[in-house]
Amino acid sequence: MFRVKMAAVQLTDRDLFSELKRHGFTPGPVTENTRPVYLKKLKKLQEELQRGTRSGKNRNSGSINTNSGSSNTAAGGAGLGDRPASNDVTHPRTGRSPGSPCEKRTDGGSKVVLGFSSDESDVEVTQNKEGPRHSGRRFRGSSHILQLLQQQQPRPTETTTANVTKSHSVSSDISTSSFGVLVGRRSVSGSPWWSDRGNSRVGSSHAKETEEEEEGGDYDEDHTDGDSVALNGSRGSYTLNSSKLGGDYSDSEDEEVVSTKERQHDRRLNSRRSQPKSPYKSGRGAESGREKTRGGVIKANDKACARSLDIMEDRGGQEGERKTDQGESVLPGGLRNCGFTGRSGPVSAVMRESGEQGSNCSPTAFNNNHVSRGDCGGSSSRFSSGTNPKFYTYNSLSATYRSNHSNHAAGNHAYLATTQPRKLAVPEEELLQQFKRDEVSATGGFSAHYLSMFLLTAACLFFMLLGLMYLRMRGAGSEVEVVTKNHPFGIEFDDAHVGKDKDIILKVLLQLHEHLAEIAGDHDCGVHNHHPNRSLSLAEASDYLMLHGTDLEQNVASALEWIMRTGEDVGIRLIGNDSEDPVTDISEVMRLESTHPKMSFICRFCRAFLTVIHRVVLSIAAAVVVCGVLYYMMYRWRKEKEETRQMYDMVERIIDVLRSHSEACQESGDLQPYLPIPHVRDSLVQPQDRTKIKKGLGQPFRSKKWQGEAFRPDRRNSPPNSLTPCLKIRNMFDPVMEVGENWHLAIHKAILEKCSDNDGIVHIAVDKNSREGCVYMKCLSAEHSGKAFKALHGSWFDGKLVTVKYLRLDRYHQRFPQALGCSTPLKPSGKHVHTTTLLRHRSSAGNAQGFS
Amino acid sequence: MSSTSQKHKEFVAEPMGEKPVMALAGIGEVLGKRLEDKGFDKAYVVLGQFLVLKKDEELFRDWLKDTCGANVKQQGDCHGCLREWCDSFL
Repeated sequence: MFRVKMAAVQLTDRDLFSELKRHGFTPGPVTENTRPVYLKKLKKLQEELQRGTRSGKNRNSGSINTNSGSSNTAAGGAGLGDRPASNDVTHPRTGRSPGSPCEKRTDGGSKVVLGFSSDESDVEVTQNKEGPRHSGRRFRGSSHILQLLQQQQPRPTETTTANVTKSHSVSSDISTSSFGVLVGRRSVSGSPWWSDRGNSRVGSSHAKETEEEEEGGDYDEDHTDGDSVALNGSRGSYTLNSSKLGGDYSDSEDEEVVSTKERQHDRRLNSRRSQPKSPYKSGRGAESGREKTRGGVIKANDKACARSLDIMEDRGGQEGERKTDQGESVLPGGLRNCGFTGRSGPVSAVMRESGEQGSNCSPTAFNNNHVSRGDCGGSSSRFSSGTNPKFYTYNSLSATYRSNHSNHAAGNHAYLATTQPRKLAVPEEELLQQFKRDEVSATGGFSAHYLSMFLLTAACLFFMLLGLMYLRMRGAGSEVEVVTKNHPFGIEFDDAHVGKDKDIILKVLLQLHEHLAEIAGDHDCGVHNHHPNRSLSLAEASDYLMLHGTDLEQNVASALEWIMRTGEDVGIRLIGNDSEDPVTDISEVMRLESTHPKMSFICRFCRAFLTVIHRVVLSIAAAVVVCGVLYYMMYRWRKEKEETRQMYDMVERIIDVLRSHSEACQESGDLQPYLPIPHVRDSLVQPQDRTKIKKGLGQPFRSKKWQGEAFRPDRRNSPPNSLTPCLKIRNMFDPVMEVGENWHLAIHKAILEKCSDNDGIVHIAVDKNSREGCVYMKCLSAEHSGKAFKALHGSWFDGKLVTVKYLRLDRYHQRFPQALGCSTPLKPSGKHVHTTTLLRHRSSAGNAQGFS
Repeated sequence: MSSTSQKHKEFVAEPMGEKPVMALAGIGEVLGKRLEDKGFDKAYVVLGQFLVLKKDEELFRDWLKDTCGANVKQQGDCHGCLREWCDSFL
């Protein structure tokens, strides 16, 4: 985590932004507040990716993830088989600015590299100083190294021959050009690669593999670009180292997997890298050769450039380059390479060696020290192959770091070790918890359901049993025998009578009791066959006893006495003449009756059932009655409330109208402060309602009368001066409600009466079909019309508010040509005769009244 | 659907204006104090953060957890409150 944090911190906002975008997530602005959130998101996305790619789609995912379209991608893709993908992957990273955050390097293991990268950057820096030392991680921390490594990696598959040939030149170039190239490369690929490493660190070894592949791809690409092989090689080794470092971290998590994968990757990478790195791999070449044979590696290591590219396939070669930074001898590097390329065993052994050597490597000036580099590279390559390689890489890198920076690797390593299992556990934990919860709830639900059912059935059974038992008890009759045993006579009785007598008496009682019970039961159950009465007379009882052979007549009296004396209920009741009075003496006893009738169980049950039913029915009936009463009361109450509410509402409206009218009255002095009730009513009741009421009540509302004025015709609501001699009067009538033929004449009359002081009205026309009840009027002059206007406008007529407006004379004449020649003022009186005739047609007498 | 608290209903019912950050659902005294110390003294500042995170629920929850240590329920309440407010007024 330490490394990750470092890496994260070093990611610029822009890098974080682009990283997130690469994952297909569109982030908002990255500010100081949102930064940590986005970092977490990025980590999560990388994890998901690694998990997703673990299935074996390293390359694809890697390329997809990291392919941000850097320029290198195109170049890299050209010449590298599957590598191109990784190249692309790495290139985008390279293209990134050095501060890019952990990118999504698919290979998680190598992502450990994140921290590593910072170490590497240190190494890179030193390398730079020394020469084309990729391991110079002096870079601020990541990007450069990453770039370098990335670039190195893409090159691995460069043709071996080319590498070989270049090896020599490269070695020389390395010191100068390579350095520059490296630097450039680093800048290009460092950050992305670095970020990738960081990502890989978080991820699994799988990611590491991918990274290595990518690195290889990058390496190849770089190579294609024409950079010095040495450069490539160094880069490759660098990346290899970093990847291996990442492997270290992941190894702690899952060594086996990682080691295996890394080995594979390393193999591939080495094969790739070895070739381009030939120059570097003076030792590298040896390293590559190491894959084949250990000895060969050693030899290669010794040689600065003579290594064949075939040997270069050893990834270790690349790493050896890196290691050269640390000034390791070629031999060790070669050894390392060999071991690395071989089996895990030997590899690990070699790696260990390399590790040691790597750790021994101290950051020394590279300066064409291919061998040393090769050694370092070899060691680093070895790391990739397994835990050891990783460890080695880590060590070498850390050594490098130490040279420049504090060694964060340890911290990162530890962090990685701890975070990964934690991270993996968390989501699983959550899932488990969810499942557990579901299970618990499910089982709980089931048990609860069953439990409730069980309880219900148990209760029902219990109550049934109880009822049955009760019934049975009742029907069983009293234990006369028990009672009889404890008779009230007490000792005296026992003493007085011989036991035989006592027994006889008891027998008598028993028999009597049983007989009586049968009789009573039959009687109660409705079996009136033998005994019409429930009770048994004394004589009958005696006869019965005699029938049954009990010679107990003389004891009957004592038995009865005994019964009387006993305060308990023995099942026989003694009835005297008055059945209600208690019997006190034997002589009064007339009849015997059983108090415990013996009825069959069914009979008893039926009786009980019937009784219950009757009682239930009665109670239900009572409840129903009560409910009905309640509902009725509520209904009435609601109705009353509604009515009162309506009344209040009407009152309010009336008040409003009156208030408005009073306000109007206050404004104009000649308005009456009182409103006729019909008017109020009309104003409140709609015409339709009015029609209904009219039908029922005749036409009390139709008054055809001027009913006051609503407002004072002042300047506010009327033109300042009369404009034309023609007026249009609206709302004088309702054409729907007018009946008769000559009602328009009444309208004429009404208007003329209203304007009786005006003798300038020459023409009136009632538009019978107008919805608005329009009446057109023409006056002699504008002055007259103005007077008429004042008189008519705002008046109430027949419950309607009349409005007047001026008309253009020419229009008026167009409409009413007959008015052109009118010049005689109209008089209401002239129409009076007609109106009276009209009135006759009207159904209500009130009209005549109105017009009078 | 889970029921909403009184605080939630009150907050979502009207524009937040200058309401303090403790008016947000899920943010009590302790969390509100922490937010204020970080500079989020008003509800609209937290709204701003919510909008900057593009109204993403997960990010906002993470941010809330990091900033004031809200637990899952508090995060959910706050997020739901702000989201509903945005739906109504934004």
